[in-house]
Amino acid sequence: MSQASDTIKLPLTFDTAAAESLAAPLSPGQLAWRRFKRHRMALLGGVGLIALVAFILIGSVLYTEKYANRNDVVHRLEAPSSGHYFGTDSIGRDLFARVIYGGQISLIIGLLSVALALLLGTTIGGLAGYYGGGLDSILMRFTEAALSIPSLFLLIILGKLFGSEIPTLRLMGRTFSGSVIVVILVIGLTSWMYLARIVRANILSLREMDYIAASRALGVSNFRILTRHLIPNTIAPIIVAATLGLANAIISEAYVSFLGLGVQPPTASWGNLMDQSISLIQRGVWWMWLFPSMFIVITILFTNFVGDGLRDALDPRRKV
Amino acid sequence: MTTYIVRRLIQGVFILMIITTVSFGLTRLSSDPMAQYTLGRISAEDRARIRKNLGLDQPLPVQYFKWLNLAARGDFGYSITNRQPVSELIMQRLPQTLVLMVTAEVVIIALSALLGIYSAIKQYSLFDNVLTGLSFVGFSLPIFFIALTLMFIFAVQFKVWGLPYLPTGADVWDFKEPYELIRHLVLPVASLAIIQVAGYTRYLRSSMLEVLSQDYIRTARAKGLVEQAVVVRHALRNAALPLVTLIGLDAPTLLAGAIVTETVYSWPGMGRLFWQQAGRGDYPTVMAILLIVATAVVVFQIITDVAYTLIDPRIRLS
Amino acid sequence: MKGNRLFYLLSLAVISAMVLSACAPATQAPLPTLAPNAGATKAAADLAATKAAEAAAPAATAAPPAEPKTLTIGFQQEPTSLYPACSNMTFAVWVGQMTNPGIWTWDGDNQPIMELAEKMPNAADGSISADGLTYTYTLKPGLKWSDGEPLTSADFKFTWETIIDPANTCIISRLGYDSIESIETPDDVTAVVKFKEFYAPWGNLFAMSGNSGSGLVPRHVLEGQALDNNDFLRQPITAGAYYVESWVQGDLITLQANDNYFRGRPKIDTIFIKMVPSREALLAALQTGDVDLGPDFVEASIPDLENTPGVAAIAITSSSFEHYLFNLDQDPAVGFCPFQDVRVRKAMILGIDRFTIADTLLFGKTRVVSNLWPNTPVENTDLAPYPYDPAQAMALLDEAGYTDADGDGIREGACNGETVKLSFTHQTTTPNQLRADVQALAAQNLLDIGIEMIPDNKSPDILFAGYAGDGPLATGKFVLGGYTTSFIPDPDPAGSFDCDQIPTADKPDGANWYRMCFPELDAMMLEQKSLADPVARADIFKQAQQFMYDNALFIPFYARLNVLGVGPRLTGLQGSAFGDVYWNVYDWDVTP
Repeated sequence: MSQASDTIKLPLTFDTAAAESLAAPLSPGQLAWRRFKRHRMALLGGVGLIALVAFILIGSVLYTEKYANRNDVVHRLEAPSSGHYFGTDSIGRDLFARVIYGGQISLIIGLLSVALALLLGTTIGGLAGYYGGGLDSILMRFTEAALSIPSLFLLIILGKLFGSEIPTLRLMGRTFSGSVIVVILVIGLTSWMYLARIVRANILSLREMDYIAASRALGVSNFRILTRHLIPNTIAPIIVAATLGLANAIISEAYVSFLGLGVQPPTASWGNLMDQSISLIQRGVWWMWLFPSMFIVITILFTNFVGDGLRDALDPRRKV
Repeated sequence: MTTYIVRRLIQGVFILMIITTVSFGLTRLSSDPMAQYTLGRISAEDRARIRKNLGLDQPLPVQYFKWLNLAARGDFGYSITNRQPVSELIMQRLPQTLVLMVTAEVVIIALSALLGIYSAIKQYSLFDNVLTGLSFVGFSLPIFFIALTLMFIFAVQFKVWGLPYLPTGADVWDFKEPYELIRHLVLPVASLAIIQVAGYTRYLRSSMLEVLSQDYIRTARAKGLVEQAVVVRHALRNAALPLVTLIGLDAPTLLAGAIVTETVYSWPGMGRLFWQQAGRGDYPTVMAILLIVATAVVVFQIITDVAYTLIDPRIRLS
Repeated sequence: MKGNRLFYLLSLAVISAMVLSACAPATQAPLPTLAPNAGATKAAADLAATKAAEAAAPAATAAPPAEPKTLTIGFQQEPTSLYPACSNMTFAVWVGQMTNPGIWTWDGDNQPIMELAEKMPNAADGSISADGLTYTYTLKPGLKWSDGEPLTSADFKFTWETIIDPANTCIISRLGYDSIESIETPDDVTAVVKFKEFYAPWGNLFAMSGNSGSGLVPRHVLEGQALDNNDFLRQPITAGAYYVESWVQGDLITLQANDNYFRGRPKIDTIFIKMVPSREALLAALQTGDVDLGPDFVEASIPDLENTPGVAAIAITSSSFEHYLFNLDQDPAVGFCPFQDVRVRKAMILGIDRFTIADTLLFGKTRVVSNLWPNTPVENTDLAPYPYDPAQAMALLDEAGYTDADGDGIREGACNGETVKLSFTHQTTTPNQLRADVQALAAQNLLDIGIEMIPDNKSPDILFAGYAGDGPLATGKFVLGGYTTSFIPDPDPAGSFDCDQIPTADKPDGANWYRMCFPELDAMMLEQKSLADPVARADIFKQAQQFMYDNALFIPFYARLNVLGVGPRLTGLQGSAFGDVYWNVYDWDVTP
């Protein structure tokens, strides 16, 4: 959300207040599932997301990436037809296949950047909360410093920095533009801070609990206490933050495309497909913007529904 | 309280030091000012001379300490592309940015407070569901899409249809004329509001719901207070806290402007200055903007904390 | 659908505001006199006031003009300075062309047209000395600066002194000016320039073309002052058809007609240059009439402009060329070994269908070129671009020993004792939709002949970074690059192909990014620099083009188009490869 908003504001999707209130240990899973199920929107979101992933997976089997990148200038900018369900783009590539592969990339970016943010956020928050003292001070000042720079500014500078460094990558017979990794790094590195704070706050309160004190008295190692007791008990807010962070990352990807720091063609992503379309709005090439933006909106809607449902389900204090 | 503020100020200075060190390195490494002087009618000797004149031939730490030495005294130096005092460049943009951003912020906060509180009271009503749905769509779209779409509808198409239309922002107009200013503010403010109101409404709604489900509200209801009174007397007062949080967090970023909105609507603001100069490797300007905004964040953080204690006497600063 | 519903909702959201604005007159309010630059220093403000008063004085005596004629130009980037010698941006040069004339410029036929000079020095009347080292320039008599002061040969000399003064660090290029030994001014209109050594591109000096140059600077304003950080960079006193009245940074440059202009007061009274940083917004502004002229569109915008009612597209075939450059460094650790083989290079040129690219993506408005001097007098027009011939390309690759031995669709072969796969990255600038599209077509063509080209684009400030900034092109850390440049108005390529200009740690600022080293080419470049006779010099350039063509030293794509959107009011524009459209700004007019 921070990147998604032009004004570089708080990522409200990392609803700090609500997430921090999840400090209590995880309620029994069954109870949570029951609450989640009762949340109709969340269920709809869940089903929708599964359908979306299925669409992308089946699509990737039906169409090769080569086909998605195959251009055919003679048939450029053609409206949707039975040959090209979503029409063709400025050099005659099939937009249907590109939306499928763009979805792959957008989801990969979303998942990996969230994973990176989780890794950074829980590590920094966990260490600061558990060890406290000087380490806590240093890590928290560092977190605050990262928060004090508008994240869009940080994103621009990091995007330029990595943009010059990261080469094209080959993985599983596919070529990934270095820009995909750049976008993952940039989004991940600009969205871990709130998570770090949430995790730290939780661990601070858990640390004082009796069973932790008991473990310590029994001589259990710090590492083990941290990874076996403290982090798992902080899992609820982490899950919520991760779900909502996914939506955030997908829209951020579109956002950096507009600034020219996004995924580089020919690799498609929903963000760069949408960015390519904006100069064509006037020419009546509606299919170029309609389909990518539709998929972005739907994905973010579904993800947010699920995130909201999870929050309600995992928060024992909230009555549905 | 005083000790608290002093301690926070010392922490703030520490934070700013981290910011300047890291962002100087990042800024200098992410963009090379010499990229401007590579093509065209220019000799190798010219390039060497320019590099030396800009001080780029010195090691990075030396460049940093030179910059820090001046910045600590409030001197941001000269832009290396415009050759103008950076403070002058920023002061030209700041008023325009503030007009846009403060207007947008007022609209956003007022709208979100109204919508958020109303939909919290009427939880799961038709209104609440429609609003929740709409707010999702609002922040599911990137702002460049919203801003350009608004421009094509209300400036271009409305003119084509012969309807009263709004300006694209690319026309020549006088900033000091109130009527013109309002006309030019409508679309950029609307764009900013569409993506922002959504998030804030949700935040305020959930804060309100939290308050409404708390015991003392139930007690108030049990005491037989009418719904209206419960909401006004208790809930609204408690909703002030999240509002203050939002304003406190936003206030410093208002200085930074809005890069995309300013770009689409040709608004001469700070965001555009940052974006333009970052692309030219103009590190004195980039660093000055970062430092100003970061300082504002630190200061407003303290102000917000103090404001909390005034609103909610239960909160103690330590 | 979702999108349409969104439109509907957005319409509702803003409609109330529209109703409000409907109450007031909907037409564009006539332009009020704009407040002077609030941020300018006092000196600048005083200057503006003086000039405004002076400009107003003659107007008062003449018959009151009905309505001042105004024109709005939308610039997508803001100049860094309004004195073109202190800016490297074409946007600054364009303002310079309208305000700050040189001694000559180039017209619609790329012929020199005299501005401040009476005539060009020439050998026939002895104004070029027999040894080619002394040039006698003659200025037009009675020239005046926009502030009314006389413009004389002393200003001409002062301009040279300003450019070579080491204290003026803002000066970008001294190329050529540093070859001048002395300037003497026997009278007000004569300047005798003595060169240290023969300098073939002397015609560039003190002149203003559409992409570089320097007009004259006034001695009475700047003498004894440092140029750096001077208000002159923001509000120069000049001698052009217009003068800079104010510059509200980030927003607006206001130019006013100069009553002291030597061709007489231009037809349009005020030119506003509005900063419109987004191309989409600029197109919208052209359509609503907020802007009358929008330069720096791209080739891909042509259909948008043409389909927009009331807006015309002007596409000037320029002398800029888009080309892909091979890294020709002979050191296999730096260069890409297969590119040392001319057959591989030629196969790549033959294997890319540049003609389809020009016909489709550029709408057939420009042509595929064979050399780096398109649309200039030295272009070797005998050289036809290599055809698109994938069969011949594959035959060449086979012959060079590159075959698809492992059956993965990509050729490999022995080079310098190692097996090298013909798979590499291509780096050009982003964001640029046309470049990305051309790149995708080229990559597909190359894949068809067994060469894999992987796009790896960078933003310009990274791609063009210097040697110290670890720029890929400058340091040779690239295999295949791509960008646009031009060698105009003088054809001299400023060392771009010279062996001793290959950038290295010892010589980080070298201009030879091709990293090529051909003694034959070096000799030709050396010779052209020593020739005074333009015909003989053009011959050498034509030979050099033949050499480059035969050796396939780069992949020339097409001559770039300067695309401008023009609103219905503006008349009198005439495009020029050397002078852009601004060279005849005094002939422009607007219809009400």
